[in-house]
Amino acid sequence: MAESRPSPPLPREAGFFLLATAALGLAPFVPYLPWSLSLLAALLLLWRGVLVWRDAPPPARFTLLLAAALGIVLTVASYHTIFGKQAGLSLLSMLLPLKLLEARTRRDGRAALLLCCFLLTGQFLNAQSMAVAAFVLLCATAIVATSAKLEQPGQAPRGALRTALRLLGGAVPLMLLLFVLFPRINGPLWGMPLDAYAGSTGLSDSMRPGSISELIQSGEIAFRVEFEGTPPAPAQRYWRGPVLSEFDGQEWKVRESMLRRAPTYTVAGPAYRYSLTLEPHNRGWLLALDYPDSGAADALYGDDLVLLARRPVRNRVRYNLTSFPETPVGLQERENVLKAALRLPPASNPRTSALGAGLQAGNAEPAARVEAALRFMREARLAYTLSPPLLGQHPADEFLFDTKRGFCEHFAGSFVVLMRAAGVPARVVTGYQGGEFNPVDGTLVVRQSDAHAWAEVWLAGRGWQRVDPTAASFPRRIDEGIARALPEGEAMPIMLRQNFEFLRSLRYRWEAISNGWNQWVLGYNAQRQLDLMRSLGLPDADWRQLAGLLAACASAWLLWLGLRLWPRHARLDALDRCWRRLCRKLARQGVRHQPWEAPGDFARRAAAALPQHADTIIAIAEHYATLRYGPGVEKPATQLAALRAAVQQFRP
Amino acid sequence: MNRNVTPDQTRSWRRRLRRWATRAEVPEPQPVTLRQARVYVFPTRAGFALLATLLLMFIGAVNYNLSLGYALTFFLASIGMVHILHSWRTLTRLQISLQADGEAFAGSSAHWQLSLINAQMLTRPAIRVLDAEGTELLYADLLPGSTHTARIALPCPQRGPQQPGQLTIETRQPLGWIRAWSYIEPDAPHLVFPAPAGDLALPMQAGEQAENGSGLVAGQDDFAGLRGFQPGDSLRHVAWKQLARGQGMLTKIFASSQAPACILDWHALPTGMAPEARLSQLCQWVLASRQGGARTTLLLPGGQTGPGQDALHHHTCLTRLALFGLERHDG
Repeated sequence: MAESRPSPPLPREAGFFLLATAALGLAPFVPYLPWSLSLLAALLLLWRGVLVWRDAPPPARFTLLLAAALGIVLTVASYHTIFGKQAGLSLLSMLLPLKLLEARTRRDGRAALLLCCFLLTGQFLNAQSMAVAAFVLLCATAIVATSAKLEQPGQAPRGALRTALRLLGGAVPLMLLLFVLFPRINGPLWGMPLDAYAGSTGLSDSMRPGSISELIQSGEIAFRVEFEGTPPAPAQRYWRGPVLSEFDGQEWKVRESMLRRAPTYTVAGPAYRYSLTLEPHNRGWLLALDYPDSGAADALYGDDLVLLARRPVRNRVRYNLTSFPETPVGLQERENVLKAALRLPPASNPRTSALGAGLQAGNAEPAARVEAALRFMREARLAYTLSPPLLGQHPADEFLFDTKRGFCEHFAGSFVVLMRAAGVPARVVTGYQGGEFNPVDGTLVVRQSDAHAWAEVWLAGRGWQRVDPTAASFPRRIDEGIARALPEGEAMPIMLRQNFEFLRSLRYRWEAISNGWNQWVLGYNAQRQLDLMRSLGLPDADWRQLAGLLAACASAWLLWLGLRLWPRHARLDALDRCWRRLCRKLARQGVRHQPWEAPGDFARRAAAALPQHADTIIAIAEHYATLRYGPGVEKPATQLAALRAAVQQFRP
Repeated sequence: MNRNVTPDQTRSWRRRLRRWATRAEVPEPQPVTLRQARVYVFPTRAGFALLATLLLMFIGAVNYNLSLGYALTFFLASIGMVHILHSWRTLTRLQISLQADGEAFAGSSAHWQLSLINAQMLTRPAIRVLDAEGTELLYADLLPGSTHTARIALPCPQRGPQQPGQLTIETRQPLGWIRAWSYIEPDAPHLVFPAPAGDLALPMQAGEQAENGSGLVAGQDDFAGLRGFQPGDSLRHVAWKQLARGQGMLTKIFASSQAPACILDWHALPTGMAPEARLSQLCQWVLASRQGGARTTLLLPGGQTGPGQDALHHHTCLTRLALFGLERHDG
């Protein structure tokens, strides 16, 4: 067969198409590749460009091997491995220019295009923003145009592009159908490389002075919330993250907690229903408003009141929750939990410990000790600042008595030390506080800059009670946000500043759009697909129904497209319609008009075949030829009518 | 069962399969129109390579939850599906007609004028016509409402009427991922004359002609008839009137009154000569006498043709030679 023959050589113009497509396909990698590899790829492409320009043959195999080895060496030098996500992607992105460099035939060209498709998929591991999507659409169009150019090297570059766009027009609706209706499988199918999710920001399972003030420099979104009905007041928007009860004098750490399928408390009080879309942070905790009801899908309830996912959150997840902030929790707290919540390392923070002991001696009631401690902190004239001085060996002592400048982790940490010294079980809770409503789409956006630390104390008969020492000293932090609580002139991340209203409104719009993108495009998974089917009136759609619906819609589209593409004759004018009619009548008598036959020749042949009608046929044909080809006909409308009548009356 | 399948058997199977796939009574009346049902589509090798790549991309998208990975995979797959429609429409309703062209002699090749007729308002690019062995005969881009005509040559091993046989019309446009094709077997018989061969001298009639020695060739006195134009004929002798009427290039033959005469007799050939060798020799003589403008009489076991000396007469002689012994079977 024709396919087994050697592939024809790559024409020059197609060579340039291929080069441009490869350059486009590699462009999204540049921000993620080490500069040495980007440079190597660019040089290889340039070399290829020169070879194509000069119509020179590809370099010798040995040279190519040398270039490949250089690529591997540079990769290993940058990543210290050739496995894993980044190293794998960088090797792949070296492969494309190398393949291009050795391309001789059209088949090589096609192989390079396939590699390009693969690379484009790979770079989605780096970014999937709207801009990337638009760029990839451009690359895909270039791939299609280059394929067209490879198939018909003779056609003009503009012709290849037009072919690509025509195919694109037919394909985009089909792609949308496939995207929405193709039965989705939830990955992963196998384990991921270890570095697949490196670089996610978020809370951590430990806290030392300074760790949260670092986090709040980031304007990245931590999660988004859509409330059903009235949202809670700003002062109630505490989103619980890791609870830290182990203290070594410097650092607060998470204590191992028991995990259950259902919460240990019984919910009570007003309820808030909401759905929360959490950005991936590569940790287990699911942020939730205190205290979530049972029934959160696929989640575990820790006995420190934290909601946890079964696996680290590595993709954006969306979950629906109902929270009851006034639920009493921890009424029958276990003994070892309370013991841990009282433990202090020996000989640390002596001044705070002494203060706590004094509070204990002066107040019999634990609740009164809490009040007294808060009163002390208010009266100590502590300053709330994003750039607190570094603290030494006894952070609580130094903060409360010497520097008196700190951020929420200083307030919460020192308060808990004080409480433990006063004999009240207490622990630090980290999470997010507040968030702002995006006026464009009405979602509550919570950013890393809303990260917060507060405290929880346990009182007999009342269970765990939230105490926010930052709020006690600076109520505006909670009611109006960080920006109001910080003193004027404090260096702040730009988006937290008050005087950039225009920028803020722009950002609201942009984030509303990108939230829609995240929710409906990037976050479109099996669950979303089922939700959509439910809203379309298919309450329990399974993959068979989806496949059926997909097949029906896709066939309908292809059928419509097929009808539109059906090869049609040119629109005939009235004169040609008359002539056609005559031809049809004669064809029924076995005299077929051949496409190359002139009217006169055909008429003579027909007249010979049907002698009894010879005169009529010749007359009609001459009449037609005069009207069609003759010079200036008088009264064309009347003449045409006469011809039409003659054809109509003609009955062979 | 014989496990060794000979190439001939393979060819015969392929032939039968294609005849079935032609989906028409063969040989087909002309012009052949490619109805949509007889246009087939299937991925090419490049198409299968793309499918494999798409599968890999899909697995990657599932594993890493890359929503845009799904989108890209679906995009390329959709392009492939639309490609099918575009390839298919490039052939659908295309008309093909074949017209035997020129003279053909057994053992060489016969020519046909192949016309691709695009009566519709669409461009049909990159159309290939292949013979049964897969050799490309023709490559054409058809503009809307245009006809492309080209001369194709096919081998003709035997004398007698010969059909062009199974031809494949195919296209891989626009991207080369999908091949659309159709088999045709048009009814366009070409009469193949016997292979001219043999080294016996042209038997000129004894008498006054012998004095001329060479056997007088075409003079310029009297118009004697027309014959097909042959390279080397003077342009002054071309029958322009006939050309203008669309009867093709013909050359006017003039003969002097005392044209030489020859009698080409089957029975006068040496006994023991095989029938095909006799036909070849007679064919050789007919050609030589035509070249010489001689009055020719052909004597075959079935009867006599001639005498005559115009192009039509020589053509009748050649036709008789081509069909000798074949007509009886038809009856």
